[in-house]
Amino acid sequence: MRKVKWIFFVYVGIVAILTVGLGVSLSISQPRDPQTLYSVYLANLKSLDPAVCNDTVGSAIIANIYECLYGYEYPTKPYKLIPQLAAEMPKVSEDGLTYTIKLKKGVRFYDPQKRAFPDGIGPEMKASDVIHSWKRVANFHLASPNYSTIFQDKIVGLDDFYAYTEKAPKEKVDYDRPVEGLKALDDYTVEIKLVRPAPQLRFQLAHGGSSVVSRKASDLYGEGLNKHPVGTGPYVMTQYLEDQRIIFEANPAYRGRPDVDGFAKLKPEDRLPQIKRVQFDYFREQIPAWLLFQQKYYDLLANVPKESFNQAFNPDTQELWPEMKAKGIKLVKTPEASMYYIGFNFNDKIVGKNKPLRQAMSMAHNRERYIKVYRNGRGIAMNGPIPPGFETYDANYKNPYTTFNLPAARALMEQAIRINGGPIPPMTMLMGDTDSDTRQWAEYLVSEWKEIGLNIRPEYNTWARFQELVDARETQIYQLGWAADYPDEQTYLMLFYGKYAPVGGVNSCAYVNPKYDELYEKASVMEPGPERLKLYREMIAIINEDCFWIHSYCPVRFDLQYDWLSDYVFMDYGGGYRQFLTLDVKKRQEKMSHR
Amino acid sequence: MWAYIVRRILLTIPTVLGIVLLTFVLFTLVSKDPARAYAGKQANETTLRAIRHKMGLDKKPFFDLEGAREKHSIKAFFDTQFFDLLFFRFPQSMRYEDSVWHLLKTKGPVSLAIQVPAFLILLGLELAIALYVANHRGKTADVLVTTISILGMSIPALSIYLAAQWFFGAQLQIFPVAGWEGGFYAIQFAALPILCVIFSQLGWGARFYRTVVLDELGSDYVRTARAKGLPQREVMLTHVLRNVMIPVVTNTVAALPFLLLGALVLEHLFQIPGMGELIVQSIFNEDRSVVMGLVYLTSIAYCIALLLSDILYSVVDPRVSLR
Repeated sequence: MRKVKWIFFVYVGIVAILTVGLGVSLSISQPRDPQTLYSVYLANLKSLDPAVCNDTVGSAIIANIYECLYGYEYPTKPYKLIPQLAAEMPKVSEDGLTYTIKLKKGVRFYDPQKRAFPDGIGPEMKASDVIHSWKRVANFHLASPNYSTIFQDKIVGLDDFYAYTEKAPKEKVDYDRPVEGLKALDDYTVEIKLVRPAPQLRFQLAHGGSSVVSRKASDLYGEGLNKHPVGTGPYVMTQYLEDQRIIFEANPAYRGRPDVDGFAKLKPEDRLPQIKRVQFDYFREQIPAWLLFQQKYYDLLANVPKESFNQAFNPDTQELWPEMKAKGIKLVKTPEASMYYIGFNFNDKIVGKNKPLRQAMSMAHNRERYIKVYRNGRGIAMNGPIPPGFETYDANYKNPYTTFNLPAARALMEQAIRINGGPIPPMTMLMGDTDSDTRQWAEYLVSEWKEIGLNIRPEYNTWARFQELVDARETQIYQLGWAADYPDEQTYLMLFYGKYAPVGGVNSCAYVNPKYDELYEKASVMEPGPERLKLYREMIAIINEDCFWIHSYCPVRFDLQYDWLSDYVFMDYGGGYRQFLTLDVKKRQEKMSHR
Repeated sequence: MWAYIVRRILLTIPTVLGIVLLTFVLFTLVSKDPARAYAGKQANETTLRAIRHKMGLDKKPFFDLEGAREKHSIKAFFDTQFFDLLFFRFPQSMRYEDSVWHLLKTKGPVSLAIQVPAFLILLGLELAIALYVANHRGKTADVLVTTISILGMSIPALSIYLAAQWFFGAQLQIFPVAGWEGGFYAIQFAALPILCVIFSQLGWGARFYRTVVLDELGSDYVRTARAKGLPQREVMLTHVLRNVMIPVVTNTVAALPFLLLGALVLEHLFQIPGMGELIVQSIFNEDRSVVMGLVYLTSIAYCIALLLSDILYSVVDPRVSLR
């Protein structure tokens, strides 16, 4: 009996301690720093090492710490490329094979851990750091997905360096091994020699994967750089709790603006970042983030969850309800530089050889209805492979194959059946996820194609398995999307280039058209101008006619912010834009007190 | 007893080996090339090769005869994916760019901060309710508790979590809707998930222990104790409770490894960066080394827990002897 009594008392004691702790904890509200910008991120971060990071959210976050040689002017649209760590735009030789880039002077690295540099402030960024950073991307052992995106098959000797690292033991990779195409002419000049002209290189030098890291910090932290970023950007990371929180503070060594060098004398009020501290909280599920945004815990929210759309917006007008506006919430609508499509495999004996069938399937797809019903109107029906925001995009262009027209689609089906030599057999559509959105999307398409007499069976896969089948060209019909890497149509047009059609290439529909390839090869080495634009338009016309993609929709972001924050602009490329935001601390405090 | 323990440990080895083999074969069959999940949209064979190397997927699955011949080393023969797993040499997590052991170290305590208090409170409440209602069988309290228990068991846990989040978090704003803080503020964020765990599991536990207590109440020793004139409180707390301890010990010890594993849906929904969320993320992201590593470690922990519960039987009930 005595033992039982003791157990009972211990138990009651534990419960009492927990209850008292809870009471005390709840009564002490957590301190909120009035100078901090509170925001959320909705995708898990893989790595904070710019050489390895290749996801959209991660890249946008680390771009606040690291800088590239080039960046995009905020908030200018259409996008304008400007020098960031470079002092000026690159000087390109007449043959287009040599790029000479001058660097800004007086730009310093900062290590908040103070391990790489005793007082945190590091040495000046030099050409050797730039070259080292790019060689890191080309290190086999780092397994950087950015290598193939940015550098592979472009810079003289870099592929050989990659092959060398593959053979060398991980800890013995010699970064001082020369690469013919990458030279530091002096401390502030980098020379790049290309295998063939690549006008898009300047955009790729604005890609997060080409960010400049400190040689000393990367030697010290090694792969640990993914948790200890050391950059030159407007912010430094002072706390990183995986799957939970990231805290940025203003970089004390930052030069004050992206467009000046390290010796610029700026007035304190002109110095960026304006907001000295930024907190990013991680949310896997959007609903809790939305609930907390309404409670004013967050100043900014990227995209409202689908399930809560009608709570925030009038579904007919897609504008905020008056009570939301009264709270000081503002809506920022931005069409993304991305699009979703349904692809056909060129090698498939049914869809690959039957143009009327592909055209009929495209015409049977009611894009507007899908966007309205399933996406709460957050999308733009696509009329070609290029989304809004690009020079060749024309909202008024009427593509007959992207216009919903059931009678015309049925007429084309008759031709399709003739070409096939009989009724079209049941076909399979490969989907890259198993979630409810993907299933709805697939079922919707299947029901549309049923209207023209087609029997399509959706097959749901994990992303890796889906990729494997698409890469192996073991598909018939598949659903995929593509987000632009830079503001040049080439980012889309390369997806139809015949040399990328073999197994594993980015031309996932394995489309091969010699006429298209000829135009692509001509355009891909041309500098921007009317002549290249004409070629782009010809290529787009071929894509539209051959219909290897059913161009479906371009997503439109519905971001929300409170009015105490200066107007937020979503940028598709680059990053580090938090430095341009300002916070009306007084206004926020007043509104917070009425929470 | 020692002979029994040694025998059980020896028996555990083939069990664990079987689990590792099964886990490895299943993962190899289901997820043929997890490197693709990390390779990015413009990945080509070069990138995939590098990622496979980093994930240890370029090693032979079971035995490397070629490598052993080349290097004239028996060690190279076993430098394979299966033996990496078997000897706890888990490849680095691709999703977190971190070692599995470090992830376990950082995320384990977060899950324990929810699961241990929830488990302790739950166990106490379950036993107290079970003893009380069994003692008042057929009376209003018993009917009420049984009805509420069935109701609690019938509502899916997910609905309970969502409703609690909406009502206590969004509407009443007593608890944070979701999120996590370290240190003292952890209590604030842990409270609602703990309450949710208790509410969603209390019904099952209370009913289970009620049945166990009722079985005991029909025993001869209870009748004898009552006949001796012992007060009912003493009968329940001294005699019945002690005999109820066998299923309690079985359940408690078997549950221990799962406390560390956290709760998948709960942590996911409340944005708690614990082991449950780690597993969910690793499955979604096909982070093979983490999932395989955790399955392996959990199976070992479970085997140890079973052994421990057998040993504890003999402590709780001296009539049980381990041979």
